[in-house]
Amino acid sequence: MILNACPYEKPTTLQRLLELNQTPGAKLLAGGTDLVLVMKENKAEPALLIDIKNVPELHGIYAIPGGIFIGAAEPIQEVVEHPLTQVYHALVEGAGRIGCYEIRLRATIGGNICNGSPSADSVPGLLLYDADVVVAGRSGTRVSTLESFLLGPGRVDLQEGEVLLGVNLKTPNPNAKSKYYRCSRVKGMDLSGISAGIYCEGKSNFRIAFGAAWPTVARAKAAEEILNAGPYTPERLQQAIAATLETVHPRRSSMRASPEYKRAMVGELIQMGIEELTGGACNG
Amino acid sequence: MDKQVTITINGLAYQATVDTTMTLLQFIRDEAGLTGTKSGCENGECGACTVLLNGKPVRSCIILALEADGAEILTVEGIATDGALHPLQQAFIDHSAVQCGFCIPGMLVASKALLGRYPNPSETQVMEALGGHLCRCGGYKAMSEAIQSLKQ
Amino acid sequence: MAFHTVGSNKRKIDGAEKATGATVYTADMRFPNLLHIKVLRSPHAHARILSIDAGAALAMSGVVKIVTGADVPGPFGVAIHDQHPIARDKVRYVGEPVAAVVARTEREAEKAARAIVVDYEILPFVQDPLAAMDPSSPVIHENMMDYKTLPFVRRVGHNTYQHFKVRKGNAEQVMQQADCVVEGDYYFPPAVHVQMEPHCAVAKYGHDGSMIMYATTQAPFVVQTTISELLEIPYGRIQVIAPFLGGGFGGKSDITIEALVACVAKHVPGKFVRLLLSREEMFSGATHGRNIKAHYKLGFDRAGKLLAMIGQCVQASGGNADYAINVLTGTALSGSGPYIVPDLQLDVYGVYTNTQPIGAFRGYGHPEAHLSIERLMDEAARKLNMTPAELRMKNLLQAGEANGIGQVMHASNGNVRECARIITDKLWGQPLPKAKSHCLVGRGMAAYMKTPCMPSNAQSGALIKLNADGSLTLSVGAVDMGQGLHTALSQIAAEALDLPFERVLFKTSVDTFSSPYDWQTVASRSTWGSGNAVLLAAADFKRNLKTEAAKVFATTPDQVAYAKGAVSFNGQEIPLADFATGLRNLDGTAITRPFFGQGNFVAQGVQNPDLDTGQTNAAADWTFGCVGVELEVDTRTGETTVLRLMNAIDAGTIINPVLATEQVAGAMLMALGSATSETIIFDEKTGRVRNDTLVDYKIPGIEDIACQTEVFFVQTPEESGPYGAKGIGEHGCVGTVPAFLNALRDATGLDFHDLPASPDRIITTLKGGEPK
Repeated sequence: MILNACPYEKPTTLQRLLELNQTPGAKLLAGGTDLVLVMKENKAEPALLIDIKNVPELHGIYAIPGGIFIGAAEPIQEVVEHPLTQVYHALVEGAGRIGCYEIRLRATIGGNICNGSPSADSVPGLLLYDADVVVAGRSGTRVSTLESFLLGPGRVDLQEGEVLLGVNLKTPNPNAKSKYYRCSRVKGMDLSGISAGIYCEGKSNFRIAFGAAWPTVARAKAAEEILNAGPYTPERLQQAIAATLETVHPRRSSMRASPEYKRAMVGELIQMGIEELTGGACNG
Repeated sequence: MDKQVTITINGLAYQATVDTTMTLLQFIRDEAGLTGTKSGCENGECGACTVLLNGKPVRSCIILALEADGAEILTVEGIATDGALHPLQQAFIDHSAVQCGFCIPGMLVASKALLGRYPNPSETQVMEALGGHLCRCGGYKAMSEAIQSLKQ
Repeated sequence: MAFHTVGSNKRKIDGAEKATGATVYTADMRFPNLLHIKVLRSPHAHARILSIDAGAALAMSGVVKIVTGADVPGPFGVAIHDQHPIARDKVRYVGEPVAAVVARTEREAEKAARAIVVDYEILPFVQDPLAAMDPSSPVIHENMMDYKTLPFVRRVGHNTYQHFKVRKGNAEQVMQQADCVVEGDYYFPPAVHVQMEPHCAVAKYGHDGSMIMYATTQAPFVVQTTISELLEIPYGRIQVIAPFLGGGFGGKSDITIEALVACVAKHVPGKFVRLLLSREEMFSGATHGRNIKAHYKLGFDRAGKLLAMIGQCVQASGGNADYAINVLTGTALSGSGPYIVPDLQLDVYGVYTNTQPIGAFRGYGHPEAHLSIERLMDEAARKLNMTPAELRMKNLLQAGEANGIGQVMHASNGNVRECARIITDKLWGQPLPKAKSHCLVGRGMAAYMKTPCMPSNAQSGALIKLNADGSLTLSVGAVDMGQGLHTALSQIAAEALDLPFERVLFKTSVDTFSSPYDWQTVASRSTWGSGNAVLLAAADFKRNLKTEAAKVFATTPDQVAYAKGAVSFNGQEIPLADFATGLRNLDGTAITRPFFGQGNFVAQGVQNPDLDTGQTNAAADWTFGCVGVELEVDTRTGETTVLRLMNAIDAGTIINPVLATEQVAGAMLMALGSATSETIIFDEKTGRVRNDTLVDYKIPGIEDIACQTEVFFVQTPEESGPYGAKGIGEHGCVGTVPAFLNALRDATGLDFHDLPASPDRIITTLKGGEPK
C-alpha cells in the first residue's frame, strides 16, 4: 500500500523532463515494475514522480551510424521482438527472461539498467556487445560505456538531474554468436540465481559476462584474456574458469542461490556456452 | 496532488480524482466497482489482477491510476458480449479449467490477448502468455487445452 | 450399478459465473460505511510485551479505535486453549498480532499501526522441533500445564504439549531379529498454502447483541462456535456466511483471522469492519503446514516381509498448537503407511516453537509420515535386491489384515495392491526414455493411505427445497473452495431423485443461519459426509412427497410410485412442480402441505484416538493409492523435469471423473512444489519469514508442470459412502514427494532426506556430497 501521495508530472519534452528532474528527491517512473513495488513498500517516497513514458527522445529502436539505438523507455518486449535487435542473441534471450510477458510489456530497458541490479537479465547481453549509454543532463548529452555506468548494487553513474536516454549497440561482427543462460529456482517466472552471457566469433574473441556473480553485472575479463590469448583449447577453458572463480565470492545470505551453487555454475555456464557456440564438446 | 483522470473500462468512461497512492487495480475495483479483477499479491507476481491496457495485458496492481489516464481497459467483465459467453470462457468451462476461480479473470484476459496475437498459438506461446499467472488449484493443463481447442 | 448422473463429467455449476468475473468473493463485497482493520504484528519471534503506547496513533486522521490484547478476551481454543486473538503479555512468533487499528480507510489504519509504540523485552527463541524439545531451550508457554484442554491432549512439559503413542507388539525386540534394517532422519519443512485469495473477514456487532460475519472460511460453523465462546454471544445470534472461496487447502479451516475480527467488531458496535490480509501477512500472520522431523527404522526378514517399524515424529507446531495437535493425529493414524506392520512403535510429538502456528495443510499429517516410510521402502528394496514394486507388494495391506491402529481392513476400504500394480505396469511397462545429453532419467513410486482425520461426531447436513418450476434447491453446510463439491453433490441429488442434473440448483454460499450444520469442509470428507447427507435428504424428500401424493390419490404412501420428477398411482401422474405451490380440492381447500427433504449424517462407530496404543477405531474410512514419477535431471544445471506423473487411487466410486482428476493432479502439482522449490526460510537472527512474497516463495507455474499427468481410478465402492464414493481432495499430496525423491535417487544416486530438491541443492550435492 502506498501511504503518501506526491506530485506527478508526465512531461512530453526532454527539456521539460530535465527541468523537472532538478527537483530534489524526484523519481523517474517508466514501466513502474520496480519503482511502484518500492513505493508500495514505502521504501521510496518520491518528492516528485516524473512519468517519462511520453518523452519522444527516450523512445524508439532504430539504426544509427555503426549500430542501433534503443530508447531507455522502450518496453523489454519491444527489445525482445524488434527486428533490429535479433542479431544480439544474448540480449534478446536475456531480456526475454525478465519477469513474465505482462511485465516485459511494461518494464523498460532503461529501468532494467538503472535499477543497478546485479542480476539484471538484459545487462549481460548488452555488455557482451560493448554497449554505450547515452545520458542527457542540463549541460548536454554524454556517451559513456555501460560498463563504467554500473557502479554497484542499486547504483549507476547518473549525476544529479541526469536521465538515461538509451543505449547504443555496435553492429556485431558477422561471425558473432552469443547465448544467455540463467539459473533459477523454477522454470517459470523467477529472478536469476546466477546468469551468464557468452559471446564468440567463430572460435575466437570470446566474451563472457555474468549476472548475480559480482556486485554488478560485469564481464569476466580475466577469463576472456586467457581464452583469447591463443588458440582455443580445453585447458585454456579450465584456466579461464579457475581465473573467474578467484573473483567470485558470493554472499551466503541470498535466498535465490547459495554461494556453492553460484560457484559451481560459474564454470558450468562458461563451459556450456562455449560448447554450444563453438559446436563441440570441450571437456576433453 | 490530486488529478482528475478518465479511464475507459469495457467501453464505459470512468472519471475520478486520484493521486499517486492509487493503483489501476484499485481504480477498477473501488472507483469503477468492477470486482471481477482480483488482488492476489499486490506485487505483480501472481497475475490475478491482469487487465488489457490498450489491448495489451498488464499487471494492474503495479500501475498507477494516473498512468492509465486516457487509456482503454478491458477486464474479465468485458469479455462476454451481448450476454453471450466468449468462446474462451466457454472453453475454460468445458475443459474444467475453472476451479476456485480466483486466477481466472487474469488468465482469461491474458488468453484473449494471446489469441489476438496468435490465433493458432503453439504450446510455447501459451506458456509465454500464461507463464506469469499462478493457479494454486493446478489447472494449467486444462487452461492450455482450453486455449488450444480454439485453434482455427 | 448403472448410474445416469453419477460418474459423468458434468460441468461445474459455478463455471460461468467465475469465468465472467461475476462470482462475489468476500473481498468483493461492498458494505455501507465500512471501517478497515490493520494489524500491527510482532517483529520479534519471542518477547514479552512491556507496554503499548497507542496515544499518538489514536490521534491520527481517520482512526476510530485501537484494540490490544488487554481489550479482548482469551485464551481460546478447541483442543488446547493456548491462543489469543491479539497477543497478551507475550509474543511467540514474528507476525503475531499485537494491536489492531480500526480506521476509515486501510491507508489511515496502516499509518496509525506504524505509529504505535511497543516496548518489548526480547527473549531467546527456538524454531527447530528437536531443539525445542531440549530442556535447555526457551520455554514458550510457561503455563502450558494449566491450559484448558480436551482429554486427548497429553502434555509432557517444557515445550512438548502432545505425545501420541502407537503400540503394537514389541517392535524393539522384533527389530533385533530382522535380517535387513533401514533407518534414517527425514524432514518435511514448513510449507504455505498460497491460496490465490488472501484471507478476508467482514463483521458487524449489532447493538442488539448479534454478530454477522462474512469470511473466507472452510469452517463457518467452527467460526460461529468460537465467536460464541470467546465473546459470550449466544450461539444462535451469530451468523457466519462463507461465500465462494478462492482456494482453501486447509489454510482457511479452523480459525484464522475470524476471532480477531470478531473481537474488534465488538469494540465498534453497529459498524462493519473488514480485515483483508496482504500476501506478506499470508506468510507471516496465517498458518503454515508440515514442519515435521522424523526418524524411522524399518526391519525386514530376508524375504522382504516387514517385521517391525519404529518411528518418531516431532512437529514444530509454532506459537500455538490448537490446530497442529489434530494434524499430529493424522500423522499417528497413518504413521505406519499402507503396510502390514506386525510390530509397531510410533511416537508422535508436538512441540511449541517460535514459528507460525501449524494448521491444516492438504494431506494433514499423512505426507509427513509417508516421506520417511516410502523413502526407506526404496532403500530396503535396494538392500534386499528387489524392485521397489516387489518389496511393496509383499507388504501392502489387504482385506483381513490390520493396519497400524489395529483396524482390520475389509474389501470396501479399497485395493492398494491394484493401485501399485497399475503404477508398476504403467511406469515400468515402458522402456526408460533415453536421457538427453548431460541428463539422467529415473523412476520412483510411493504407495499411500489416507483417512479423513476428524472428530468422531463430525456431522454433515443437507436440505432439499422444491421450487414451483419443479426444480430443487439443495443446500448443505459444506463450502465449495474450488474443489467442485457443490457440483458433485448436485450429481448425487440428481441421481437419487432421478432428475436431470440441470433441475438440481445449489445454494452456493453457506450461511450458519439457514444452511444445515456441517463440522467443516476439510479432511476430504465432504463428498462422503455431505454426499451421505444428500442421499438421506433425497430419501426424506421422496418419503414426504409420497405422503402428500397419497392424499391426492386417496391411497397410502407405499402405493405411490416416483420416477423422473413425477409421482404416479393407477395411471394418474402429478409432476413435482405442483407440490411446490400445493394441490387443492375442487372447492379450493388445500390437500397437500409443503415439505423439505432433510438429511443429516454422522459416521457410526468412530472412536476417539487412544493415545497410549493408538489401537482404536479412530479412522472412519481409508483411501489407498500409489504414485509414480519419471523424471529427468540435468546434471549441469540441476534442473529436474517430471516426464510422467501418475497416480492410481482407489477412492471408491468416482462421482465426476474430470473434477476428480483435477483434484488429484492439482494436489500432486502442489506436492511437486514442495519437492522442488517451496520451503519457508526463517531468518536465523530474527526468526522472521524471509521469503514472505511470491517472488521468493516459488510455487509451480505453467512451465513447471509435468510433461504428462495421468490419474487412474480403481473404483472399489466404499460401503459407507454415497453410491460408494469417498473423498479425493488431498490424496494427491500424500505420496508424491517420496515418489519424486525415489525417482531422483534412481536417476542420480542422490539421497535427499529433506526438501526441497532444488536445482541449487541438486548441483551442490552432486559436486559436494550430502545435501546442504
